[in-house]
Amino acid sequence: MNLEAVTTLNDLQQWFLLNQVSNKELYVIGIFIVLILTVAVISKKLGIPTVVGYVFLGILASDSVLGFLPVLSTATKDWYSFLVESFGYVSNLALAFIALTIGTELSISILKTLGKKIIFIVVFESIGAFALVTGALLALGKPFYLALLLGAISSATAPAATVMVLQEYQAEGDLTSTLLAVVGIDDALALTIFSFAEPIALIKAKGSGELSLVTVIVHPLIEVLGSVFVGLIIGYFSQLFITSVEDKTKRILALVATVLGCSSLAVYANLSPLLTNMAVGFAYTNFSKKNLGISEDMEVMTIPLYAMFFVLAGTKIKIMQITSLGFVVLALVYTVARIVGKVGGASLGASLAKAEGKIRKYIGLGLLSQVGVAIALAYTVQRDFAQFPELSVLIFNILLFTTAITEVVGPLATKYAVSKANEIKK
Amino acid sequence: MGFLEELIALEEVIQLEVIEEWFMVNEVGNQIISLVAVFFLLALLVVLVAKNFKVPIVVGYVFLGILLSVDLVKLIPFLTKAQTEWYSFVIESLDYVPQVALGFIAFTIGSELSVELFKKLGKKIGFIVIFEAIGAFLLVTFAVLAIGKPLYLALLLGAIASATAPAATVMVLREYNAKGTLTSMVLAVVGIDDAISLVIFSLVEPVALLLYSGSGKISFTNTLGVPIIEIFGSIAIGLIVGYLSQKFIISREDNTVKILTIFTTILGSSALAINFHLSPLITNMAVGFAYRNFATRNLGIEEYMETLTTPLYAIFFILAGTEIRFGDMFTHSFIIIVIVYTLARMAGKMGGAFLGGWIGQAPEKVRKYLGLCLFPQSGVAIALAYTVQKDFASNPEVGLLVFNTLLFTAALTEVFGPLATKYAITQAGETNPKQRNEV
Repeated sequence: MNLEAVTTLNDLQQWFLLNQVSNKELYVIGIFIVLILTVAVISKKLGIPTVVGYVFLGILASDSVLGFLPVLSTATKDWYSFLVESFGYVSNLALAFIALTIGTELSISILKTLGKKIIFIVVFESIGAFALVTGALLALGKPFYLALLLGAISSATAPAATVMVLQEYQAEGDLTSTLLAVVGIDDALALTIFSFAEPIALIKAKGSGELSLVTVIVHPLIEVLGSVFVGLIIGYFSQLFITSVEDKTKRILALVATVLGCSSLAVYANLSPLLTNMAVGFAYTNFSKKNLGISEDMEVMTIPLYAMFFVLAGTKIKIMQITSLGFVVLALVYTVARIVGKVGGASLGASLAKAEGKIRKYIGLGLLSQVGVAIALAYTVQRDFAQFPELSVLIFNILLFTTAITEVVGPLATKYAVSKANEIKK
Repeated sequence: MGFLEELIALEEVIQLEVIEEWFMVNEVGNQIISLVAVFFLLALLVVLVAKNFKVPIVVGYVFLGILLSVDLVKLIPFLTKAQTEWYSFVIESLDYVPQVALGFIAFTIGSELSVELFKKLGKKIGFIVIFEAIGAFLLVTFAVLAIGKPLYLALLLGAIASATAPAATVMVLREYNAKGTLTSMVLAVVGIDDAISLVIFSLVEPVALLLYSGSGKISFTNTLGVPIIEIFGSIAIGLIVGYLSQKFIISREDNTVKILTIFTTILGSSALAINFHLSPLITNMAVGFAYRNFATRNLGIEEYMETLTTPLYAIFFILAGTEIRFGDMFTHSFIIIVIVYTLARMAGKMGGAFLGGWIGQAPEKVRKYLGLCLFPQSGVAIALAYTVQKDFASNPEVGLLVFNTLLFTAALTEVFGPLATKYAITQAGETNPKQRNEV
């Protein structure tokens, strides 16, 4: 950073003060939270998962939809989209807590009993989605690098919505445990697949350069193992501390400090914040001698946080950008191939590992959501393929399109799966 | 050079888009998270230390905030200028967090005030509030005059001196689980105090402006009308929102809905109040009051409130500490003003509370100790200082002097104010260790 940024920051700060940005932020939060409450009440009444309501609200509140409101001036709309964007860090925060939740659900004893099945399912559903999407796009006549990139991105599953549905209905049982483990580990695998596929695609797109072992294997490996390692160490010390204090203030502060600290550490060390916090959660569950007594607090704190997260995720979906027929076909093929790959791969993996019937039948339905990680991967594409700007725009739009569908359908499918498997306790 | 110079000339619309993109490129989101993470880590350490030394946690938070203030961070030798600029920018962009936290604090105060309390102690509370506010006003005004400052400056500082910040005091009372006559009266006094100081300020500021500019006239409908609308409007909105909200909460069993309702109510009231130029503090106090007094059964939200507010208050008080500015500290006259202002205000608060308590025939421990709980001063006072800065725009030095005095003393009073509060409630025998687990 140079001096230019310095003068800019000073001016920017002044300008923020002048325009009372903090008041405006408060308005947006205020309005969002009123709508969130309304949506939560309606969702409960209709018996649909609240996530669906939140995402739907977000879609309605995205600038591409609000842009149609004639009463709003252009300035108002631009302020709005600016303010929504400035809450970006809330999403990171929520994602960190979600990762922690997934980690805490993974106990060594479950992994021991379900370990083989989980591995089979994860490997097959990820590779299933990857292979099917890549194949389908090639069949459509798209270039190889595009097919490869989209295939790699399609292997990722967003754990957030699934976890939230499972929590909301207090689901318990083999399917639930397997599902949590799968969505958790899935990220690691998707990251790995992407890290392998992206350099290849880059070279194909450019038509030059060579593949080196370091970029394709060593970097992703360091990222995955490093994240797990850091998370486990921090988680170990954090749980030691939390069990040793009685005081609620200290416990809550320790929890928040751990989660946020791990996220920012991971970002700076080029590790995955998701995997790191998952490892922390894993350490919490498996290393602590007694109950940490934080689940109540976690629930209370994350309710408003998750609500904001999903609404913000919804606002990212630009429904109005869906214009050309070619795009719709491409996006539909992507979405369908991914769903088939996920569901088929998961069932195949489950039957190969001789999992129970209900797991075989329903597990794929819990794996449809796709937002967090996939968007992060799309950002990576945008950065690395800077000389092909249309490519990253296309990928973004496809992701947003499929997100709009899967974030609404996904939670419903998850709810269907766990209720069919009789794992709903509430 | 900087793109912002170019920007200013452009349409607002384009500016926003550019800034938005610039935010993404510079990963402002990540920077904010990292900063907040560091704050929480330090907050945790501070809590450990504070407990060890048996100091109220607030003191630790504010002290930490002072150490983290931009002026001090700039002194760290190995940070580049760009880094400190980023730091101050990121802190600034968390500006809305105090607004949110203040809403919760005001709500807590309101929910501690019951109708019975006012029936029983109303007269005493009234006397104390009026005397402590006017006491601080008069004493500070005279003291500043006595050191040879112009009358308008004395009046401005006096008027601002009458305000008390409830947050730190409430935090201490909660931390030590204080209960008793003194505690109830302190809560009521810090709550109502704001309304009174608003009135005093609104009456005095135009006079100061007139004295300063030497022309213009004072219209009392304007000066009195505005604060009265602000106070009663806030109360009315707060009571209505609070009444509806508690009705809704009672009818619900579900955690998610309950928690979201609390959030909605408090944030919504703050946003509403700011939008209509009302006081978010008084509005949320009225909401809390409605919760306490209209609810036909226990709302079962106390646990949630505690969990939600723990991290929020930590950030709030740390940020309050970072507001301090050391810029002017080393000029001789500034230090004298600060010392005179602080001492006169403390004497006025204590003396006024004692006098009011004596006239209202309050119990001895109230008379003796209540004034000690009224030292903290931030939120409202800083808002008033902003107003001064705005109204005296033609002479920025006056505004800046008032503002700097406030920023400097606010952080200090938030450090020793809670200590005085702890002393007061301990002496009055109103602290109670919590049975389940000490907070």
